[in-house]
Amino acid sequence: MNKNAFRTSVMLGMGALMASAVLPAWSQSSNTDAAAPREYLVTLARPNQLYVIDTETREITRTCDLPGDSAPGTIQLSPDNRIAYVLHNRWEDATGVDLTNCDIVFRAQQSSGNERVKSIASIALSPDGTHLYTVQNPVKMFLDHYEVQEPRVAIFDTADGLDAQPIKTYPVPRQIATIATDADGWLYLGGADIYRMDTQTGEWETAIANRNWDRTGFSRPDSLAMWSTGEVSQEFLRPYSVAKLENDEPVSFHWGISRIDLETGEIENKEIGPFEFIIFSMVSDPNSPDDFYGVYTQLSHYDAETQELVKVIDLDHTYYNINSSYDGKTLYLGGASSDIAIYDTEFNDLGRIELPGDMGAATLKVARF
Amino acid sequence: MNKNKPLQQLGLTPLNQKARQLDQAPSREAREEVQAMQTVAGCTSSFDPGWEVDPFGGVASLCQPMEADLYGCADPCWWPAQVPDTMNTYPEWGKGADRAERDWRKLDSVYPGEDDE
Repeated sequence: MNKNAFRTSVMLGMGALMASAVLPAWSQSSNTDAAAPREYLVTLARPNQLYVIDTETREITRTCDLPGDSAPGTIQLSPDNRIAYVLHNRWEDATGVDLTNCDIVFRAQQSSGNERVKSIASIALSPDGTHLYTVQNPVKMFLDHYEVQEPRVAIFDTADGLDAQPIKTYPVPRQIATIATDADGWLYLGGADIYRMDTQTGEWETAIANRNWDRTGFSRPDSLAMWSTGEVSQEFLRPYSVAKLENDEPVSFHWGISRIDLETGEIENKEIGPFEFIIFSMVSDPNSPDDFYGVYTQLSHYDAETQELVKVIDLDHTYYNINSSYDGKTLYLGGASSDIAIYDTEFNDLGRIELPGDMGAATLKVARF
Repeated sequence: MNKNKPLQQLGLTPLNQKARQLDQAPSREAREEVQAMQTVAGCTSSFDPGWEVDPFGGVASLCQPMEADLYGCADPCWWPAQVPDTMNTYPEWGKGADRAERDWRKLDSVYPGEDDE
């Protein structure tokens, strides 16, 4: 047996062992109420796997193969949390995976012919789960040159199966990354500013001005929005860094948040604490919306009311995507390497969940069903 | 030479398609309207420092260790200069090296025509 075949057989064996040890997860619950929903982490890792991880046992419940590379990998969940819609295969394909049995229930290959289409982490579901939205960035590829096309929101019917095509498209501004919908069906598009679109008409307006805000005494903000989390607190959250200015010179640097309450549509834009280190993603405490946890090479806690950095610890390596349990007691750190770190909100280290491959830029979602 | 003048006003005639496109390129004023993305991803121009230095001029806020971040930055094309373009041209670059911290020795250089799809 050559080295690769041996490695494959070991991995398959390990996968079978893990699967047999934990299936069916919901039947092994120590929770006596069989109907009570359980919480799962849902993420992606190389080369093309989607993982469903039981947060109680901290074991992999299910390993689903994607039709195409997992990377970079952006996930949104159906309203019942049982289907993960994944933007993968170099951000070209949208695939729906049933988390209860790994069945592929939806697939849209956005590129076709000589038109290559990328969606930069832009994927969202309508509140009733019947429609899927992406922001498409198309390029016409000719033999001797490329022609960049105008970006557009594409709307898919999630009942259209494995060869889904957009049922409608609308033009949108460039540079849009993460997107989300609220309970009323507004589609929020996180670009240079955060826009709000009526998906019936394609009309959009600025919901939160970022690059184009008019704030005397502040620089333009700088933000990074690649992780489509916020499902636990029902919010669309985009952290930004900004400088306070005096006589056009920066005098202090701050973290801030742009936030949309996805239940009410209420918007917020404010500073939450000092900018002393890089943060890639943030999550708010579901029980205390002004407490924010951030992650990158540090795990940090900010109190927006006092504008203080409450606590920060160094991590053993970089993590990109932070998420929270629904009770707000546990923090999950994913992305980058191949382990998911678990901490409580006092930053006590509760352990790691190892995956066979690197997560890279993949989203770490918390599903409950 | 006035760099803002079209080529033809300078007495130059474009002979082929690329030269014509150059002639039609945006004016300097229009070029200055171009702005960096808020979220830098997808093989766009990046002003982030990459592996060398963090925004504070030090190294404390860099990826630690670099291997932990290798695919996270390469896959969304954050490091277009430092590693192969896995978003478009060399999607198979990391094939067989699924955990960079363990498998980084397997990552090799790429050569035109070798792995482009």
